[in-house]
Parts: sequence; structure tokens; C-alpha cells
Amino acid sequence: MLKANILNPDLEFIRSVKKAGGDSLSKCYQCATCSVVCTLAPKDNPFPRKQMVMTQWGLKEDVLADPAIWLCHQCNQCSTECPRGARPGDVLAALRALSFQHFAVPSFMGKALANRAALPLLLLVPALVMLGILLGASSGDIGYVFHFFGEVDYARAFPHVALDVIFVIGVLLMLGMSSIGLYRFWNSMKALHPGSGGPGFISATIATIFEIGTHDKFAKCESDKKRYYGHLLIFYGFISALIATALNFLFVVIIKFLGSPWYLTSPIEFPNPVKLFGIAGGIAMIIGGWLLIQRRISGDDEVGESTYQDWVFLIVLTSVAVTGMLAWILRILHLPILAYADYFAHLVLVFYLLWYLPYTKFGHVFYRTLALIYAKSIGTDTPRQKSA
Amino acid sequence: MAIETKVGAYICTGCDIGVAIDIEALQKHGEGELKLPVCKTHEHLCNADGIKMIKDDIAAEGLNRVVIAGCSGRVKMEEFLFADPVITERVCLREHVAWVMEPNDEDTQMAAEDYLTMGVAKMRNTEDLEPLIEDICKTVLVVGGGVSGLNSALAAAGAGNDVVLVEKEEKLGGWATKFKKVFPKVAPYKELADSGVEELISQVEGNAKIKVFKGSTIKKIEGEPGKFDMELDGASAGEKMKIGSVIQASGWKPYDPENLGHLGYGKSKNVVTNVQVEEMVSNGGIKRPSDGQIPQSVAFIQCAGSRDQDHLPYCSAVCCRVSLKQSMYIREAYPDTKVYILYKDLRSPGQYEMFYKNVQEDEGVFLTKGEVIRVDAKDGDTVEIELEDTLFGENVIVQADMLVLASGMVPTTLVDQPEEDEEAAAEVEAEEKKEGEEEADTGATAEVGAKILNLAYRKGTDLPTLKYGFPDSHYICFPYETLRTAIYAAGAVRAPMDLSTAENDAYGAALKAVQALELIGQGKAVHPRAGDTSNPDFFMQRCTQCKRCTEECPFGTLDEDEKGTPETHPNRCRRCGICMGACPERIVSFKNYSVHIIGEMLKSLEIPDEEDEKPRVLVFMCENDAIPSLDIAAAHHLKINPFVRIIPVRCLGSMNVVWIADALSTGYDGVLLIGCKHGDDYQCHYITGSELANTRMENVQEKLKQLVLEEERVQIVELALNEWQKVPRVIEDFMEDIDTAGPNPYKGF
Repeated sequence: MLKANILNPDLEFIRSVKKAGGDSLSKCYQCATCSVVCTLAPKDNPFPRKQMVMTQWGLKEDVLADPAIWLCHQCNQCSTECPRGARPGDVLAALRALSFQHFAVPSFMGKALANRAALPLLLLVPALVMLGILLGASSGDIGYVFHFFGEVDYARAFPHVALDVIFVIGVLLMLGMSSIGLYRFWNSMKALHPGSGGPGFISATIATIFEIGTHDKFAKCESDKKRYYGHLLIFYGFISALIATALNFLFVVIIKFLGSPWYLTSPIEFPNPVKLFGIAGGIAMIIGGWLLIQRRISGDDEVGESTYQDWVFLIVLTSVAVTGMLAWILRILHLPILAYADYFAHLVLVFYLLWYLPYTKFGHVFYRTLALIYAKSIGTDTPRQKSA
Repeated sequence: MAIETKVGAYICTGCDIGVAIDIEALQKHGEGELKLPVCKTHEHLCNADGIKMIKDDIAAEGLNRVVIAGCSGRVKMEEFLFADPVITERVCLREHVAWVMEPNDEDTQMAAEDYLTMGVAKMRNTEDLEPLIEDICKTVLVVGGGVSGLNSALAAAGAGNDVVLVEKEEKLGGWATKFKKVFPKVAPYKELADSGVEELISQVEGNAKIKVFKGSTIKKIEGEPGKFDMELDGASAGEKMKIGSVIQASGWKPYDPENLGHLGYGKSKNVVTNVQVEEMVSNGGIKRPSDGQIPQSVAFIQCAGSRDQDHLPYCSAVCCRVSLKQSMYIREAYPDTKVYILYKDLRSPGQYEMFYKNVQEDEGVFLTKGEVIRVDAKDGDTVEIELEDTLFGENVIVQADMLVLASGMVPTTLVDQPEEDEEAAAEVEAEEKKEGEEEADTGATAEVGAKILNLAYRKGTDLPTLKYGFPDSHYICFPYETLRTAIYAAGAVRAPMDLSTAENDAYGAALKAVQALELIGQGKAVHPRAGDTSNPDFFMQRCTQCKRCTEECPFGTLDEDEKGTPETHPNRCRRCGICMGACPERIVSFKNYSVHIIGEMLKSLEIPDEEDEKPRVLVFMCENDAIPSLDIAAAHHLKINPFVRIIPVRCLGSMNVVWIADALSTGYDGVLLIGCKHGDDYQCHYITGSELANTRMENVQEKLKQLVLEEERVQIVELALNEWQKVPRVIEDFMEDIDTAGPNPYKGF
């Protein structure tokens, strides 16, 4: 259902799609080859043919609220098979990138994160926060600086309590902002793409979690296996690293604070399971990240357009893993200057990644999940059966 | 027999003929039963040695008729052409016998002997040809001075012919002068081009061979190709001249927008046609008609009144590209104006796909597919269009300051529908009544034509039109051809087309017109029997003035005097023989193709007795599609029943029913007619021939009833060239029917 059946093209939106990587948009002549070749397009509600014409006609609200743009996992088979070079896969990617801006709260954050000129400023914010923590830890003691030439002790430079408190506050703020954006997204989907043929919210959520966990849809995109493995490694690597961080917070800060004897002191050493989680996660993320970076560098046809947002997200994510691993290695190697510099970078990147989450490509963890749940809940995400 | 014929027969043993047939026996049959003075064999008749042998015999023995018993008459035509007065007959042993029948079988041998017998019978009864060679006028008349006419004139003049060009407007150039720009002409097909028509006009006006009459129309064209008498009207009234052939390039007119009320025409001033947009561009730019303001949005409805059974059922081929062009006009003049193109299918054939792509790149041009279900004028002079069956999956509405109806082209040969007001209706009724009376009197169907050519032909003043008002020509097989000999149609009068297609069309039609004059000058027929020098002779003493020949000739060859006696015009004739098939008195004949000749052929065969259990079936096959399809079947070595005897005919329409009567009384068990498709998608090379044959079949069936014969004994079958695989089946089916009917009871009488 269109928002208004009187078509009134939004030229600004069309231009922004073209700028965000969908510059091939106007080549589409609606033959629907894309919807036919797509292995993920649902039987009764195929994409991306319809999303292409909605975008060509500048129907911004309608297309950005369409869960179908999130059902696409961008194997780009549509783009390689398109007889006109309209690259629907890239157009859908651009639409997803624009979704982060469109639903962003506050909206200026959405714009800022899509703007490469704002990157230094955006990095400066967590950097200043880190410097603040560092200064706070030194309490104005000049001699404290000399500590950096001695034993490597990250917790002394960046005390856990301060880091974690600021981190948690930031993340909570981010989650709050995300919720508002996602709430708007959900309502838009409900209003403009209604349906009732699905199993309902609970079953849809379970099905979605299962699907994400197994990377079922990625596996169905047959044209690019590298991406499936890359994403799978990063996905589980990130979860693993997240668990390690959470356990670290639990045992080093909470449990110690509670006065339990089960507490651990930082740094947690190898082969403590927490450490193992962290290392495993880091390695998985680095391998996965490398696979994906390599893939984007190759510039192959099925990779599609790589935009600023694609690169910045992929590089930050991989760098978080790399700096994380280096922090451990440099500490063991007793290279204090390098170790602290690296740790500082690590912290800045982690904060960048998580604080700005809903405004960057990372936002897909929320948007895509929500869109999948919605599509499943109304029964529009029923993949067609492969013919025997 | 009027002349003495001396027939020699030559049997080729090559191409497996000698393997399948007992050549010695066949030769004996020729020398013995057929009493041929010369009957020789050769293993490759078509090679130099074989040809020399024949030529030597012609010289030594004084042969004037040669029967070549070998391959199909459709191959090696040049090789077996001998100097006058020698006439060659090709007996098709290869495709009709050797390749399609059981080798060395008794029945195969009989077939070979029968075909030789028929060939000899034909030659013994064929008279010397008397080609009609006259001095003719080789001036080409071009009617219409648009792009098609101008190019036709230049092409004909370039071929060395004098040209007369008649244009009814004061200025040459036609529609092209009214277009600011035309579709892209060169790679990469992105930029609109200039029509270049001014240059074309000056070339025509500066050409010494072309005489231009502007502001003039044709009052009358009388006579026949090569010697038409034309009189002009209008500015050149009174001018008279001789012309040879005609190219009608009278062009098109826009479909009347008054019929497009359902698409909003007339509901608002802001609904215009594509032709009106072109006028606006020439007169100061595209402005909203209601207030003269720049439109902020312009919508185009494609196929407005086209591909619509209630309006023009066909696609006009250009309207999609016209809208793309006009959207470029608009976007260039007003960069803030949005253009909406609403289409059924967007058609931009060939390289114009690049043009379409280029327009599509413009983000201010919005294209979508849908069926228009409603057009309304809204407040503030906007027009609202509702579409169903859209790409959005639901009905959508487009609002625009201006709506352009991309409507189609109508040939100038289409006569306008009468006005629907009462007075006119009454008038028409009266007229119809009068016509009806006339019809009862004379049986004529005087056609109310477009009055462009004003031909003084008994069958109407203008080119006959069949589908949609276009002067008929089979647009795939025979472009430019019309139902009037040496009158060709070029450009948009023939089929909707754009300017560059019209230019190509003009060359095609011009070459046809020049070629026709060359052939007529040599006494030869034009398409499809190009080169044929035979002519129909009418034995007028026995004519009963029944007018069947004049009426049934598809080409309007015959006029008639007050008494109704046909007046022949050999140069209008295509030599199909439909008049011969039509004549109940059998007074029409060609020297080499007549009721008598075919009758002699079919009677020359010995029909086996009933006890022999060898049925005989005569098959009349059209030489245009049926015989070629049999040739193809033979090349694939499909098997044909050996009891059939095939006689090729020029057209099923030339088949005189007396042949059927003769065949049945001679003892043939059945007669099968195989011809071209007729009806809307006809494939008959003479348009109505196979249809006439079907009509005549009704009389035949009645005759069969009188004779108490089963009606299955005479059947007519349609066969297209690409249906060659069906040939054996068609014949076999007929043979089964004949088997069921049993032997002809008249056998042996």
C-alpha cells in the first residue's frame, strides 16, 4: 500500500539514492529479471523489481519503510544478471544506508555519520573522552606519565570503572535513541506495508533469531561464498569478543565490588576461559574482516559498489579486532609506548563503533533484525521452494 | 494445332534419378509410346556437356520444344533457357519421383513415365509466346512530397527515369517541416537530430529530371502501366502528361483526437496531442494552454487510441519515441518540470534503445507502465490520471499541469468515417441505397476511395485497402506491392513508420517502380511471375459478358465496355490466370497455360483399371508455396504416395473447374487442390486466388452431387511454405479418403 496513491516524486531522495551508491537506478526498465533470479525473493512478494520503480519515482517513505529492502542480503545476483546494468543490489544497499539517516534520532547524527568530512570530529569525541579518563586517572600527577615507560598496565591508565561507566552510559543512550528510530521504522512498516498472514510476533522473532544464528539467508546467496564465511566469522567473533568483555566487566568490576572471592584482577591471563573467548573472537573477526576487505578490494561485479559507509564500518570493525589482539601481544612483548597507543586506539574505535551504532552500517543489526521479524510476522518472507 | 511442335525429351540420370528409375525403360517409353523424335539421357544434363548436347539437337533436328526430365523447375532455370522460339518444360523426376518414392518399384516407374507423358503433352499443346513489346513511357509519378516522396523521386531520378512529383500543399517537405527535431540519427543515438528536409527539398527542386507540381492534385489517371494518361487538378489544373509507373507516398494523418474523450481530450484545454506539442514547439515553446504558463509537470499517455480495438488496433511504431523526444524538449527548456510517461509497453526498436536509455538517465523523466482508467480535469487546471494494473501493484494517480496524448498515425488512404449527425447519416443511408441499387444492376462494388490517385479503373479510383485502411501489400513478403500493378506504396501510407524508415522505404518503392517499367518495356510480367512473357488471350466472340473475369481479377486489370465485354490491359496483368479459372466459357487462355493444355495433360495418362488396385489421384499444386514446400519435403526424402500425379498451377485461382470434371470423367479417383492460406492472414501471392478457389469448390461439390460422387473425391487444402513436413501427411490423408470412397465408378467409361 502506497502512502499516497497520488505519485509525487521526491527528486531530492532520488539524488540521494544515486549518491549513496545507487547511481545505476534510472537504468531499470522493469523487466523483473532481478526478482526472478533472486534466491531470497518471497514467492508472493518478490523484490527488488517493485522497490526499483518506487525508488525511481522517488517514493521515499514507501520504499524506506519496505521490509523487503532488508530481506536482501546483497549477493548481487540481480545486479550481475540485470540486462540493463541497473544493479538493483546496489540500489537496495543505498536504500539501507539511507534508512540509517532517515530513521535516525537525532537526525543530525544520521547525516554526520554518512559524511566523510565529519569523520575526524566523530573520532575526536571518543578520543577526548579517553584522554579525559587518562587525565582523571593521573589526578594531575605529572610523575604518573613516567609510569608509561614501565610495566604495561592498561587498567592503571584507563581504570575499568571509569571506562565501563562511561561506556555503559553511552551504550544506554545509544540504545534509547535506537529504540525511538526503530519504533518509527516499525510503525512505518506497519502503516505502509501491512499484512496479516504470518505466525505472529513471537514465532517470527524465534524464526529470525534462528535464521540469523545459522546465517541461513547468506548461505542461500550462492554467487558469493566468501561473504557468507566472512560475515559468519565476524558475527560469531564479535559475539565472542562481546561475551569476553562482558565477563571481564562482571568478574573484574562487579564481582569485586560485591566482595565475592570469585573476582579476577586485570589483566586476565591466558588460558582463562574469558581470555580464550576474547582471543577466539578477535581471531575470527580478523579473518572474517580480512575476507570481506579483500572481497571489496577485488571490485568484482557481484561485490557491487563499495561506499564510504561500507568501508568505514568494515575497517573500524576489523581494526577493533586487530588493535584488541595487538594490545594483548604488545603487553606480553613489553613494548609500553606502542601498547598504550594501540590500546588508546582500540578504545576510541570501540566507542566509535558502539556509540554511533544506529547511524552507521552497524545499525543493520537492529534494522535488519526488526525488518525480518516484521516480514515474518506478516508472512511476507516465505522463500519460494527451489524447483526440484 | 495452330503450329507445328517438335518435341525432344532429355532425361537426366544424375542426383539419384538413375538409381531410383529404370532409365532405359523410360527412354523406351519416350521413343515408343510418346513417339518422340529425340529422347536422350545424360548423367548430368545441367553441365556444359549436357547443355551442348541439347543445343546441338535443337540446331540439327529443329526442335522447338524441349522437355527436361530431371530436377525441379525451381533450380537450374538459367541453364535450361534456350533461344526463341524454343520453349522448355521441366518434368520434375527428382523431387516428384526419385527422391520421394520407393526406388526401382513398379509404381515409381509408372509415375516417372506418367510425368514424362504429361510434360510432352504440355509441350505438344504449347503455342509460341508472343511477348507484347512496346515503346513505353518510363516516367515515374510520385504522389506526395514528404520525406518518402522526395526520396522516392530522387531514387527514381537517380536510376535515370524522369520523375513527376505531385504535392497537394504549397510547400514540399510534408510532416518533416513541422518537426523541430527528429530522432537521433547517428551513434551513440543520444542527441536529437535535424530532419535535413530542407536540403532534401532543394535537391529535388534542383534535379533536372524531376518535375514538381505543388499545390496540385491528380484529377485522373487513365490507361495502364507504361502508358498512363494523367491529368492534374488544383494549381496545375489542365496539365496532362504520360506516366509509366506510380509511387504513392501520400503519407499519414494523425488519429482524430476527438475520439479520445475517454483519455480526457476535450475535458480540459490542457489535454493535447503529440502533434499539437510539435506545433507548440515551433510556435514559441510548450506552454500550458489554459494560462500560457510553463507547466511544472507534463504527463504523456502512450498508445492513446492505439493498440485498442475500439480505435486503432495497431501500433503506430513512432509514438513512444515521439514522447521520448518531446520529453527532451521539455526538460531542456524547463529543467524544473517533471515529465511522466505512462505506457503500455515502451517500444523503441533497434538502436533507438540507446535513445530510450539516454532519456531514462534524466532523473526528471518518470516512466511507468499501467492502463489508464480515468482522466479528469481538476481545479487549478491540473489533469489527473488514474492507472490500474501498474508496476506499483496498486492503482496510482498522476497529476500534471499538462497531459499529452501520444496518439497514432492513420494512412491517408483511409476514408474518414461519416459524421454521426442525423443529416449526414441520412445522406449516407441514401447513398448506400443508391449504391446497393447499382450493385443489383451491375454487380459492381464501386469503392468509395480516398480520391488520391483517381484511377479510371473499373474496380475503383484508388488503391484497395484491406486491414486498417492501409493499401494492401503483404508487408513481410512483398513490401511496397499493392493490388494495382506498377503502383507502389511508400512510407507512412503503407505502414506507420518514422522518417528514417520512410527514407529506406522510398528507395525500395522507387526501385520497384523503375524495375516494373523495365520489365513492362520488355513485355514481361512483374512480381510475382517476374519475367513471364505470356499474356492472357480472350476469345471475345464467345464472351457472354458475365463479368466474372473483371470482377475476380485482384489487380483490376480488366475494365469493360457498355455491353460488359472485358477490355484488357496487358500491362496491368500479373499473369496469375485467375480470369482463366473464372471464365465459365473458357475463353481465356495463355499460350503456355490454358484450360486446353492442362486438360490434355491430365487426359494423356493411362488410368489403371479397377482390377489393378492402383488408384490415380490428380493433385493441382500452387507453384508459389505448395510446390516449393514439396521440393523441401523431397530434399528431406520424405515419402510421397506413388499414386498421385502432380500438376503445378500458377495459382489455385487459375484452376478452372472443368479440369475437375475432366479428371473425374477420365477415371481419376480424386482431385486434391493444395494452395496458399487465405483469409485475414492470407499468403496467396495473388491475394484472393486461393479464396476464390474455395468459393468455386462449392460449385464443384454441387456438381459431384449431381454425378452421385462422394464429396471427399475433391478436396482443397491450405499449405504454407514452412509446413513442408505436412506434405506427405496431407496427401496420405486424402488417399485414405479415396480408399474409403473406393474406385471412381466412371473409370473406364
